[in-house]
Amino acid sequence: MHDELNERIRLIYQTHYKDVYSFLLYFTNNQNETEDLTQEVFTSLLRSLPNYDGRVVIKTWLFSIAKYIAIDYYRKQKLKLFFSEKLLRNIVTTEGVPEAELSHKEELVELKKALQKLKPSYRMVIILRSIKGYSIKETAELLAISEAKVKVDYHRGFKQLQRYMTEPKEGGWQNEFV
Amino acid sequence: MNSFEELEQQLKRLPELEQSPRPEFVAYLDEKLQKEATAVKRRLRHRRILTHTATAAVVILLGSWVTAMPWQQPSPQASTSPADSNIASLPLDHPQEPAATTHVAEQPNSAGQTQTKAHVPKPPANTGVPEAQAISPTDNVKEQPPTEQYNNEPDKISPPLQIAQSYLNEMLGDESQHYTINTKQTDLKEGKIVFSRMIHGVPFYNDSYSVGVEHDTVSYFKFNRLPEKQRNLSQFPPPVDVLSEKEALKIIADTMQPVYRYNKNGALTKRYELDFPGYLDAKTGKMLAKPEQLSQVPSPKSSIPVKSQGKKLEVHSVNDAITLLQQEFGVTFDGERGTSPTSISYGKGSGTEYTWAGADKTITAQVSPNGVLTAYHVQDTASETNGSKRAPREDDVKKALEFLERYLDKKITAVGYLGSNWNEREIQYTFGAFVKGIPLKGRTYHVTLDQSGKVVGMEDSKNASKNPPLSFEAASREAAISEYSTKHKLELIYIWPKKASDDENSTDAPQLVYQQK
Repeated sequence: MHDELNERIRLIYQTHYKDVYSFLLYFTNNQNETEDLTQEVFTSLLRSLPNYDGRVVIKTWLFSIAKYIAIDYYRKQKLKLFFSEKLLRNIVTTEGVPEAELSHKEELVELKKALQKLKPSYRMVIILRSIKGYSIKETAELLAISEAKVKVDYHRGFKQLQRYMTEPKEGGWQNEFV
Repeated sequence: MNSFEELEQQLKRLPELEQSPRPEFVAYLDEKLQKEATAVKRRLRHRRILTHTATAAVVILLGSWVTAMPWQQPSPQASTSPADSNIASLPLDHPQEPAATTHVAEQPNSAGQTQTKAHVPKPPANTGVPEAQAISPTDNVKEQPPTEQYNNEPDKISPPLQIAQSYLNEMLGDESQHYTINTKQTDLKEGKIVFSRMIHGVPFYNDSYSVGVEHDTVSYFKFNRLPEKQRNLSQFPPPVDVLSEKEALKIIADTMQPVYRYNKNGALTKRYELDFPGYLDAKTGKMLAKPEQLSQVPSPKSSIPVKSQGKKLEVHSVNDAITLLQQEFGVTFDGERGTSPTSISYGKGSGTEYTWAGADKTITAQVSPNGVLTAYHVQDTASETNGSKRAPREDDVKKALEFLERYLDKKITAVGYLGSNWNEREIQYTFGAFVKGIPLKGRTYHVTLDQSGKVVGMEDSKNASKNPPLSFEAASREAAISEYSTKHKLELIYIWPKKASDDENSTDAPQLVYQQK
């Protein structure tokens, strides 16, 4: 019994840590935060694992935990940034670097930054659908939302992303919360 | 720059920048999880040992006490207040009784199950409660949860029910006695214990408290309390002059109707199902809709005969899909990407979804796991919309039906219009089907037309309901009714329906209703 739980969590961890890590990394765009959140996801899962009755697919369960931990992280960040608003207003964004053309990699970096500006529900759908390549049905299952909501959030998220990517790069504040 | 397509391509390239988890972090977390797993197991083992020890102690104590007691002594009164005994509480009465510790010692016969029966409290003295509500002592004994929940040494062990009950007592004080464990929503495996309000011995699930217990500690406390107005007990009608469970069952059973459904093998089968919206007014016998059942797809109200041709749309590869879309539906692949799909998704059990995103249109096709095209859609993304929406038109419906009947199962004899929804670019019509006049459940058919009235999409949609109706594979309606009446039970509860703003006759007051148990 002792070994069984150890083996189960090891198997789950080894099978899914990359997916969870990757999802959270796109969500936070910060490696340190991602490591903390990944640890939180698997520790939460472990605590409930003895009661797991197989009614939910492990991956779906893991992502549902990851989703709430990500949203919680977003809220904390929002609060933190709200209180440091004055500080942020004094930071000049590096997005305003007047370069005529951004290289391919720089464009992707810009895209990652733009992704961070999306609200969590749009961000999650775009990460899973566009970046991780899950189908509408799978995305709906992993995020525990309807397929219709996936489609709507995806469409709206994309529109916003398009807007952020075409906005003038000079000026502005570095963070959406300011 | 940054068109939809470009952006999608850029997103797909993002993994190029993806940082893999640091190996030291991966190793660290693996090790940490192993240690944590060991700690969790240790905690569970300790709990189990304590539970067994306490159970054994109780058995020994009772055994010795039973031996010492003279059998002629009259039975003491059971402790549970009859006012609080009810449908929801009975199966779990013992574990939640805070006073169980002392009462066990007072029951001379409690060592044996049959003897215990005689001392189980009777149902509420309220004669208005229908017969069906009364749970026999036998039922009570049968439904007892594992012994782990029945230990009576709370100082030594803390099973989730006792922890939750103690917590509720602390939080609510005397008011907690009005709440009993809701066996329907309580999930001991998940450590979730739900207490619902009892009024006149009838549960009112809309007023409840939920206590989470994890590793012998309360992990959360949630409540679903009502506004002060709704807490006024005088508004709750006592359960008198209500239909008996038998009468209610008969009314519900009368809604049994034949339906057709596709079985797992894709064959059409005739079944019998209840057309019961969830609640039955216990006083008037009128049907009331349960909010979660409102989402079920209704049967069409009228039917239009069709000559179904049953044309097969077989697809076994992406090339098959392209050929079919071109030849059968006249779809052109003239985008810069040619015929190479921009994305292919493989859903679990739902088949494959192909997308071709071109400069001026997006084409999607869904293929079921057994190789049948179940949906296609060509969406114009280039032309500007004039902002006006195309309203449903009779000739559109006719056109949609003419299109649809080519692909409908030959056994479908008629379809019925269910509705439409539209945006600036297109309008989608939805139909239900009939087989020999009997509704086909679980399937709807959609045809999409663009602003010019051209068919640009079709879908054969499976509708899986989270709350499917009770369904019987019986030889006749009478047999189905008989099976339903013998195998199913009802439960009397209070509900407080929201007053519909446009319904002058609806009341803003609690109601006594029956629901499926």
